[in-house]
Parts: sequence; C-alpha cells; structure tokens
Amino acid sequence: MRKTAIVFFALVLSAAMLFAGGSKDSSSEEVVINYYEWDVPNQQFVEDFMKENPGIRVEVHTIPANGDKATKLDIMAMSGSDIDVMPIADGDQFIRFEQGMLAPLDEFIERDGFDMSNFGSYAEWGKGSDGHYYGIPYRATQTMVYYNKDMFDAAGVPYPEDDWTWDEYIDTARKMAAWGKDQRIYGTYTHTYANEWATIAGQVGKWYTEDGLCNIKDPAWVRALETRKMLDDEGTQMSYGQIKAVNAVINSSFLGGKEAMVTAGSWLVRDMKNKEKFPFDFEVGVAYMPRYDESVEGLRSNYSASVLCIPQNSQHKEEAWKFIKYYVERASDAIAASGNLPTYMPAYNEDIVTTFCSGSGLDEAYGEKFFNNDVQLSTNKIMGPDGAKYMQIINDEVPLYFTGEKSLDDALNTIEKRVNEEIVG
Amino acid sequence: MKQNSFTGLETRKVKILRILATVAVGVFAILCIFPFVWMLSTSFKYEIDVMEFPIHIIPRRVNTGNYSYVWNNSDFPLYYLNTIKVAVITVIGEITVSTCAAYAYARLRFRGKNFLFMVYLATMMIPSQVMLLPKYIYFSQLHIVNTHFALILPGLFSVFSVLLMRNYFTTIPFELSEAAYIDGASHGRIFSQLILPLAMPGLMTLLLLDFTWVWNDYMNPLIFISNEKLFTLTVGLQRFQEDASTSYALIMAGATISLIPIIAIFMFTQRFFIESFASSGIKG
Amino acid sequence: MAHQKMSMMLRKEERAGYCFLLPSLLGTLVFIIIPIAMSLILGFTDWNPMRGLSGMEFVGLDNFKDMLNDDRVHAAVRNNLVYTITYVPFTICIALFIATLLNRFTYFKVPLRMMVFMPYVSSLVSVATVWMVLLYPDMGPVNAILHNVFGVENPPTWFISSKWALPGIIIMAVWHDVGYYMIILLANMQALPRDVYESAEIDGANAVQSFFRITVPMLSPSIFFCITLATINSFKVFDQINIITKGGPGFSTTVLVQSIYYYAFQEFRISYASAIALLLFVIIFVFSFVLQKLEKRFTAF
Repeated sequence: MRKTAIVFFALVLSAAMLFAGGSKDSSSEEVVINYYEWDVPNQQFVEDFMKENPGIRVEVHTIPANGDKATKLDIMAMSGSDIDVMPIADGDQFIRFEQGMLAPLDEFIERDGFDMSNFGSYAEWGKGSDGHYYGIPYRATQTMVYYNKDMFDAAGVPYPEDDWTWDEYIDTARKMAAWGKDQRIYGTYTHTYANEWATIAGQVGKWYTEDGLCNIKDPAWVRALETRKMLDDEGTQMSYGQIKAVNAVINSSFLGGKEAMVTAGSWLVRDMKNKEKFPFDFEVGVAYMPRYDESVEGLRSNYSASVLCIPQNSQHKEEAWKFIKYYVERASDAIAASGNLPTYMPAYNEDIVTTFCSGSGLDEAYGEKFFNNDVQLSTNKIMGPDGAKYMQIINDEVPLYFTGEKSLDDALNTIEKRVNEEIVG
Repeated sequence: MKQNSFTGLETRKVKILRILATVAVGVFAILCIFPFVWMLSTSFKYEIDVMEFPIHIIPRRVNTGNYSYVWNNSDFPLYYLNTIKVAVITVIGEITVSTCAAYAYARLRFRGKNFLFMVYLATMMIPSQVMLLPKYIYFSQLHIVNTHFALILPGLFSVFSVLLMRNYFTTIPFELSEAAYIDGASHGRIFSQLILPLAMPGLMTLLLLDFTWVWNDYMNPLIFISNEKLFTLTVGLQRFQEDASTSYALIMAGATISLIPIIAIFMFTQRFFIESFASSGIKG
Repeated sequence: MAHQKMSMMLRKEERAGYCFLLPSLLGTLVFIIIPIAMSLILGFTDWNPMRGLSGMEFVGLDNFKDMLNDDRVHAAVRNNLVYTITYVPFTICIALFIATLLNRFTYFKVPLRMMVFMPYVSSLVSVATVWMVLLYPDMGPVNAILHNVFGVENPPTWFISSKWALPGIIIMAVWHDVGYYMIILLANMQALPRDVYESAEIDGANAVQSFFRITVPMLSPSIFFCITLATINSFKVFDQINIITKGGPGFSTTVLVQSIYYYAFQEFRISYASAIALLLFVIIFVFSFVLQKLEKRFTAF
C-alpha cells in the first residue's frame, strides 16, 4: 500500500515539475503570430504574406464555427494567451470594444496612412464608442432576397424586381404561397435569428429616441413585428414557432425547395457552391431587399461586417497589424471565393464577382449586386456598446409575441421598460 | 422453487412475470434509442434532407459519402487517436487515484476525514462554466494549456469517481476486512486482494462512466486545446460546422463512428455483472 | 495492553488512510480546489480581467445586492428549484424500477441495459432534435396521442410556450439521465447478497414484497447516493437547455448556470457571474445537507 502511495506521490510531483519547467522555444528570431478563425479562406495569401515578410510566421488555427466560438476566443484574449489576431463577427464586436480587451489601432492607422474611407460604411463596424478603431472590417455579409426561378416560372409570377417595396414583396410572397399551397411550399422565409424580423424596417427605424430612451415602439418596428406575425399566421411563410420546433435552417430549407423566396446573407452563395451537401437543381435569382415604402429611395440591402482585432495582451501587435493590413488589402479574392464579401472597396472589380459566384451556379449578373457600391446599406443589428444587451432583451420578449403568448403591446412595454431600466437608466 | 432457476426450468408464472418485465423495460428502451436511430439515419442523408419534417427515418435518397468524407477529409483518424490516448490515460489514472482515495474514505478511520470529505463533496457544487476563465489563466501559468495534460491532469482527480467508489466500498461487509486484518494482512493487501475483487461491478461502472465522460467531453478540449493536431473527436467533429450553416449529416456520421468504443466498453463491462434471475415472486 | 494495541492499530490505520488519500488530495487541491477558490473569490470583487490582478477591487456583497433586482436570476432560481424538485424523484424512481427489472427479471438484459443507457451517450444534437420532433406542437407524436387517445383539446405547445417549455425540458432530462442512474444502481444491486432473496422467496415473499422489504432497505445508502448526485447535477443543468430553448421563451427556462454563462461571456461581468455561482453553491449545499440529515434518520430505522 505504502509503495503504491509513494509511487503515486512521486509521479504526481515529477509530472508537476515537468510542466512547471515547460519548454518555450525562444531560440529562433522568427516572430510567430497566431490567428484564430472559424471561417478560413484559402490560405495561399498566408503563404504569400510570409514570403514577403520573412521574419514573421503566421499560425492559422481553425476553431469550430458554433455558438461557443466567441467564448473560446474571449477567454484566450482575456487571459493573455498566444492569440494575436482575433476575428469578431457581425455586431458582437461593439461590447468587446468597451472591455479594454482589444488594442486600439489608431496609431497604426495614422502611421501607415491607412485610409479607412476605403471601407465605406463598413468602417463603422470597427469603431468603439470612444471614437477609436479597435477592429478592421475584413468581411461582410449583405442580405438579399434569393428566389427560386423555376417556381416563379411554374407559377407564372414575374420575378422580383430590383426596385420594389415591402408591400410588393408581401404581395409576391402571397402569390407564391397560394401557388405552392398544395405542394406545401411557402411563399418566403424569415429566419429566427435575433432581429431578423427587422431587416427591412431597419431602413427607417430608430432604436433610441432623441432623448436616448428605448424606441422599440417606433412605427417601423411595430410594422415589422406585425408583418412577421401576419405572414406567419396566414401561412405565407414558415412560422416562428415552427422554425424553432423543427430546428429549420435557411440553406436546407430554400435549397431543398421548401419556399419560393428567402431573405438570406451572402453566405448562401457559399452553400450553393457545396453541391455535395446541397444538391439542388433549380435556377436561383437574387433581388435587392425591398424598400420600406415609397419614402425610401434607392437600391437597398441589409448588412453587417466582421472585424479583425489585436488583443491588448498580444506580444506581437506590430506583426499582427502587418498581417491584418495585408489581409484586407490583398486577400479580398480569397474572402470572396469563400462566399463572403470583402470590405475593402478598392478590391472590387469584375474578377471578384466571378470569383464570388464561381461554382455556385449563380449568374454573375446577380452576383454583381453584392458588390454594388451604390446600394444603400442599413442594418437590423443594434450597433454601439449596449446593442448586444438591447438585442438580448428584444429576443427574450419578441418570441412570446410571435407564438401568440403575449400581445404586441405587452411585449413592447416589457422591452421598453427593461431597456430603459437596464441600459439607459 | 429455488432450484428451478438453476436448472433452467421455470414455472409458467415466472415466465409471465419475466415477459411482462421485458415488455415494460423494452418499451422504454425503444424510446431510448430514438436519438441513435436518428443519428444513424442522418448520417446516410444529404444535408439538404436532414431537417425535413416529418422525419424520414429511411432516407429518401441514401448518401453513403458522409462516412468516407469524414474519414478522409479531416484529421478524423488523428482525432480518434488523440481521444483514445486522452481517454485511456485519464481513465486508468483516475481509477487508480480515486479507488485509493475512496478506500480511505470508506473503510479507514483518520482525523479530518469528515471535513475532507465535505470539501470533496463541495467541489462538485461549483459549475464548471464559472471556472473557465480563472482555470485558463491558472493553467497557462502551469504551462499545460494547449497540451493534452490540460485534459488529463484535471481528469485524473475526478471527485465523482471517489464518491462513487466510496459508496460502493461501504456496501462491502466490514467483517471481511476485519478478519483479514486480524490475520495480519496490511491495508494495502486488503485493498488490492480483498476489496477490489469484490468491487468489480462498481469498478466496471466507474470505468464505463469515466470513459463516457472523457470521450464525450466537449467544453474542456474546446477551450484548452487550440492546436488542431491535438483536437479530440468532439471538437474535431464540430469543424464540419460552418458559419450560419449546419453539417448535421457529416457530424452524425462522425458521431456514429465515435460511438463504437463506448458500445464496446459497455459490452465489456457488463461481462463482470453476474446474472441473477428471479426464480419466484410467485408464491401467493 | 489491549488499549495500547488498539491505539497502535488506530495509528497504523490513520497513516494508511492518509497514504491512500494523498495522491488524490494533492491533485484535487492543485487542479480542482485552487481554480474553484480563484473563481469564488471573484464573487466579492469587481474585476475586469484585462486590468490584471491589480485591477481587482473588493466590493463586499455588492454583487449579491445586485442580484436582488435581477429578474434573470430570480427566474433562474425558481426554475432551478422546480427542475430539481421534479426531476430528482422521477429520475431516481424510474431508474430504480428499471434497474430492479433489469437486474433479475427481464430477458435480453445486456442489450436492454445498453439501450436504456443510449441517450446518455448519444450526441446531444440528436437528442435535442428527436425531442423537438416528439414534442412538436402541431400534431407531433406526443400531442397526437394526447389529442386522439386522451382527448386533450388544446395540447401543450411545449418548447415554444413559456408555460410548457420547462416541463418539456424536465421530461427530456429524466428520460436522458435514467440510464445513468440505472447503471449505478445496477452495480450496487450486484453487491446485494443473493441468498437473502432466495430465503425470502422460500418464505413466500412475492416480487413486490421482496423489492420493498429487501432491495430498498439494503440499497438505501446507494439510493441516497444517487439522490444526492442527481440533486447536485440537476442544479448544474445547462447543456440540454442551452441547445433547445436557450433559456426562453422569455425567462421560462433560464437556469442559474445559464445566467452565469450569459453574464460572464455575453456581458463580460465575470465577478457577477462568480457571485451567482456562489449563490448556486449555497443552494446546493443546503440541499445536500438536508439530504445527509435525512439519510442519517432514514438509515437509523
């Protein structure tokens, strides 16, 4: 017995010592920067970068693209681990800009004369509430209306036009739903993501009043919520509850021929490229998002952008910055090829549209719409440091309205009260 | 009556009783394998057909490509090896460490025992989620982040295992070990030659449960391992998940393959369970 | 003499006790207790991890005062209590029942055990999907039975209703974990001496009688162990809820661990999350304490 115990004691101790003395290779002059990513484009550009910068080695680490991806990176960034280049997605960045978790990039931007206006309105997605840049936008998504041309042909309904209004969209959806009724095909599809119901109303709606209070009762939001519920209830689209109950997803649903139209991000083009997973056999068309009403002008799309950041704890900020700069300036092709939209406007050209569409079967005339600098962008996301919390509160309440448990007034009152108490007050 | 169970002859009443019991458990058991059936069925589908409603258990179009894709287009075999490595080392070490501790708690008297036991029990009352960040900082200091040690070392000292074995050891009659002690056997010998063999079903249960946990652990490998070459199956499988998209078909193909060792371990551990039969129940 | 010999034996036993415990104790201290202590201390601070240890500010009970006005935490405590109080008895009773049948009565013992254990090892995604389909509001299998067989006019809408989501989760959790406790109980039943059953049978006890007269009393330490375990684990419930309802609709399925996760990694209020963990700890501790007292009472009879 004693022998066993002693052997174990020795084992544990020696093991502990082994790690305490853990090896650190500091011999080479080469600086290693670690880039963590869940949606890695073709890595040729990383090779190119290293060729041009012989002193720097970039290690790309792929992490799972599920709900916990941000948690892992946050923990790494906050605990001083080796992460040097950190992606943050689609609106998640703003609360993180406030934490002191990320290094401000203004010095680098000024020193290198890096022109943020090259990012157009995407630049806003890298800015903290203090006006400093903490992130560089590198890829974005724009929401469009995708439609199943074969279904429209069969129904004899004209394709959606680029310049159309919300009412026309509803009308089209109803026509398609009426046509598809016997085959259990819906007219359109609105997913259950937080604030997905607000993609069109985002063109005119304001989240805060001029006094900085909660403005969830803005007529635009009310109309958006009522519209979703109306389309759900009349069976024009799959209802909120049903999507939740069967765990429906956009790509399988639309590419599986369950509805005639869908509002979805540019990533749907990526999935169209994957014929093994999604073997669909119909023609897909793309239209811009409908206008809120006649008071809104121009071609419209809903958008959000992801950014690359440098954690405050990174030991190699200089090298990380060099890599980020190279990434956005030179790797736009790779980003487009992976079905995302590059954010760096000077890279927009004919080739990039070809690359973006290649393999998806999508006509390039449609693909071009994602790269149109004239399109008016708005967002359903709530930007700013409190946006994430605001959206959380909405998402706590709004489903109760969609599934008929609460009246719209009740839901809106609760949201208003909570936002004013927990965020404003 | 008693002899009947040994000769294999059973009265009609016993038979009816056993059939009834089998049906009762069987109904529940069938409900229990629904997810497995879904897993299996999904692994032979195209992604586009996965979330169909109503569910088609027999895929409308069969896709056997998922398995070969999972096996060939990722480091799946490597993940498998990593998981086996982590699981085997952890489970063996953990069983050794925790049965020793459990023996002390269950069958030996020493000062501070109750207090220490309460401390052990209390550690189970803290949710692991709250420790993620402090643990990461701490493990970085120990230089075990991004190595398999970050999974193995905390795994060795599972408090649950100690509790489980302590419970089992207390059910073994104390007269046995007292008699052996009076005959001059040391505690080491009593432990290894008397108690352990008697605790085989308990040990096997521990083996099964430990193995299941380590094998299915997701959060720890996700947070503490960043090097893809060190990924375990649970995290490796999630790499088929794409942004705003799902790959249930691939993930379920992988999950099905990764379930095989657990089923094997289960079958193995059950061999140590003695089959006892109700021979009666019956008079009256 | 006898007294001396006795104390020598005791001393030897004590030394053996420490030796057996030492590896586990050391490891538990280094890898379990230290991280726990670190986490719990944070509950009394206001700490932004980015400011390092020097940025740690002790604020006493402020975090706990904040909890008094936190609807999310209130809902979580309530849901946790409802969950545990229903989940534990159902799980343990069903597990005990099935273990008894599987131990001595049924045919096909090993395959049936494997099947009952299956939910515990199946991927959580598949478990969630299957239950979402089973409990599908609009004439899913369960509601179809409720409607057609039992004549329920408006069957519950389960996971999308704030009233029925938690019951749905509990049903699923009981079903999911029965196999786990069944396995533990089954192992302990193996240790029950067989001749006791046999002599009871000779005395004319039927199956039900021998269950209540022999199995339950002799197994009571293990049953209590399982109850304690189930209580602790049920208060820590997170994964199943997180994958199906994410705490919704509203706060109807929010639990404490989920609030911890939310505050720590959505709002980055690490200290507040730690304080909630402390609250959870106290609740579990009280429950375990009461259970221990009950066990002493019960086994004394």
